[in-house]
Amino acid sequence: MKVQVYPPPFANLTALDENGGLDLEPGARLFSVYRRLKIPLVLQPLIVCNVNYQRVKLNTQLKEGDVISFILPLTGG
Amino acid sequence: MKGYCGKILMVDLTSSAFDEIAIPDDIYEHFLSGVGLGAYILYKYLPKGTDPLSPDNVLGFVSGLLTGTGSFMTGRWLAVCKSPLTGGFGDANCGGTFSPAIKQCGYDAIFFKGKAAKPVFLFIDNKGPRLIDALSLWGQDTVETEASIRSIVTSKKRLAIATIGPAGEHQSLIAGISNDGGRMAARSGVGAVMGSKNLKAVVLGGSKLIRTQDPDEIKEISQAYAKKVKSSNLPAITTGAILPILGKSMVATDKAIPIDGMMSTAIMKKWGTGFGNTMGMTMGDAPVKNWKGSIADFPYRKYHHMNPDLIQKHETQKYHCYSCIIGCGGVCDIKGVSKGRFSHTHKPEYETVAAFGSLLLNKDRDAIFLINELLNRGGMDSISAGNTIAFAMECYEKGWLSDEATGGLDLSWGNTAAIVTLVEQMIAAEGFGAVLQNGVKKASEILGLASAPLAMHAGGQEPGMHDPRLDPILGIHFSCDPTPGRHTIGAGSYYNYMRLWESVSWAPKVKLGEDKTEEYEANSNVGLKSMANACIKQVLDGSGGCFFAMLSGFNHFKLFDYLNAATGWNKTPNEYMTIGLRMQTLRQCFNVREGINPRDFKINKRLSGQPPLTEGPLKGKSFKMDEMMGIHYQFMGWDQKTGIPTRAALENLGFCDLEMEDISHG
Repeated sequence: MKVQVYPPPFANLTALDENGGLDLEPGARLFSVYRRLKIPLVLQPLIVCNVNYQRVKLNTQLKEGDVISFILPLTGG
Repeated sequence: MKGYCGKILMVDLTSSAFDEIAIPDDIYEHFLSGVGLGAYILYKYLPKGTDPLSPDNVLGFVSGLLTGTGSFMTGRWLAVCKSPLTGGFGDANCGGTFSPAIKQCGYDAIFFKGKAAKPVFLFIDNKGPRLIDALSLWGQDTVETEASIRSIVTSKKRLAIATIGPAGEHQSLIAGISNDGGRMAARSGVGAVMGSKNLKAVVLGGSKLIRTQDPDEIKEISQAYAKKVKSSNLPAITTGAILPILGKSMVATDKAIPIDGMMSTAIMKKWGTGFGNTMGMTMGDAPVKNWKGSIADFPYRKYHHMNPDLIQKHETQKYHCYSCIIGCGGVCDIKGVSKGRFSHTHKPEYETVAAFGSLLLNKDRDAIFLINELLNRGGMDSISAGNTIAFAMECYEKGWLSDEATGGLDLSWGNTAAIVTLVEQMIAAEGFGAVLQNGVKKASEILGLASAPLAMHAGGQEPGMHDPRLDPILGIHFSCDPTPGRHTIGAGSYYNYMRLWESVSWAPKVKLGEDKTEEYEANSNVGLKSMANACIKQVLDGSGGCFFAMLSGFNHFKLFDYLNAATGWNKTPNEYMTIGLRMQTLRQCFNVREGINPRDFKINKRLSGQPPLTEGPLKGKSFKMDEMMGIHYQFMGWDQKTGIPTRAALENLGFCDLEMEDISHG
């Protein structure tokens, strides 16, 4: 299955396609995304990551088309 | 008519006459409201070649098409006029509660021409408009003025008040207009124009309804958007200490990363714009030492004083502008600052903290709180004021300014006491401040040509606190927008956040891993992105939309759907982008008609890395601004060499009913 990922800048981006799509095994959980992007799980409490714009736990099961967004700051103001 | 009122009020201050002018529906379909309606009225009613500080100038207070319709993040208003700072189209944008109040009086906009014989303010409620003597208010600061007016005018409804302070009264070319106790429509010298008309304030107390085509659809869009914003929050343990690290990580790669703008709202909710000050240091976004320095000149031991957590410690209350669901504003207690001179101030924005922090090598946070309140009350633009003082400090460093010339002020970098004194002098037009009160271009003209290379401006207007050497498309908009020098029009990073390519067919997609260094070259991708930025910003400013809603992404902030639901037009995103192009082209036509050479708006070459910085995250970064301007002009349908809209472009955009003979076609 494929999910859409907006990764943090320090992630391993090679796992993603040019649109930010990530192929996962059916039934994969959120921590699989951390693993594939090589984001240390110890950083998890410090990182804002939403699935479909909701805070969820790391063991949340993902489904096709889910949107996984990591925080990135903007500029301006 | 749906979403808009279909009429404006024209006030002739010379004769004290009021004229309600009906605006045909097709004008809204061509130019929306907001900045587009403002440009249309200025083009139509302002005599060619008008002196911006003469009675002939037309000053408008313009609401957005979506303001008051039940849509979220659409409560911005604009002041528009011929700018005394640039000589071209001037506009300044502000939030607060003033925009809906314009429409609640039954008008989409209120325009002024002429000049009152003595100071007046305009008051409108449901009984209609009248001019009231403001002689007793002249000389009061913006906060005092609001309080005085509330004691003079009784109203069941809380009045919305826009006013100038002493800077506008002195016709400082960097004066703005304040509302809601110090929120500023700061740019373009709009406050000077208001002062030149003896117009102290505009006071609104109407309560008329704004009708829309499909209120249920608007409600549905709003609820979906609000749900996402509500759940975007930082963990409670997050501190400002992460921001410099985040900044560093943002520039660690030259590869583009897809961004979900919604996630940035969590940062805005926590800190407001102030999160950018420490992050901007490690990214290279925040300018240092009159744009010639780097983090090496303002290292951690200095910039950590701008940690937004330290600013938040003063915050006693968060607040939202009208229809806002993010709430980046705040009120700060500053009774402990400067011997309790003021009790509170609006939370300083990123721009003010950068302009009076890193730009001047000033690490005194308390002084920035004080300066913030002085400028808000004085009614002066913090971006322009900070850039102008930075210019003076560099002149002083070079020995081009003596202590005698500065009136004894030691303008060494980071001299906080001198900076505060100079701000007070600029607002009062006294001492050496009188030399600086009209911005950096005028100051350099007074000090002599040799100082011109140190004067950071585009066409007379000082740049916002974001560095084009980090984001060259930002430099294009500093130099190519008809109101130059503003950071809020477009940038490569903004483009990435907006995700316009999901709705606009011709907008190029940002792909993961795309080489960001290509944005330093004048190529077609850059041309398309900068054009898209310019067009969508006009649509946003025609709608009263907030810049930070734009950056949350149009995949979340459904601007086009909102517009269709409000008006019933059923236009496509591509059609709205064409409207944006038409609005921007009209503003450019205005400038050409007023004798502006668009190429003269090119930003100081220091900001394009000529010469490149030798230290910091932007070390070695440069680009060719002339070529970048040319590619932008080309994609806008303007002559690539001159920046003048071509006849073909004007005809394609349906400009036949305007007086195009005034424009020398390229």
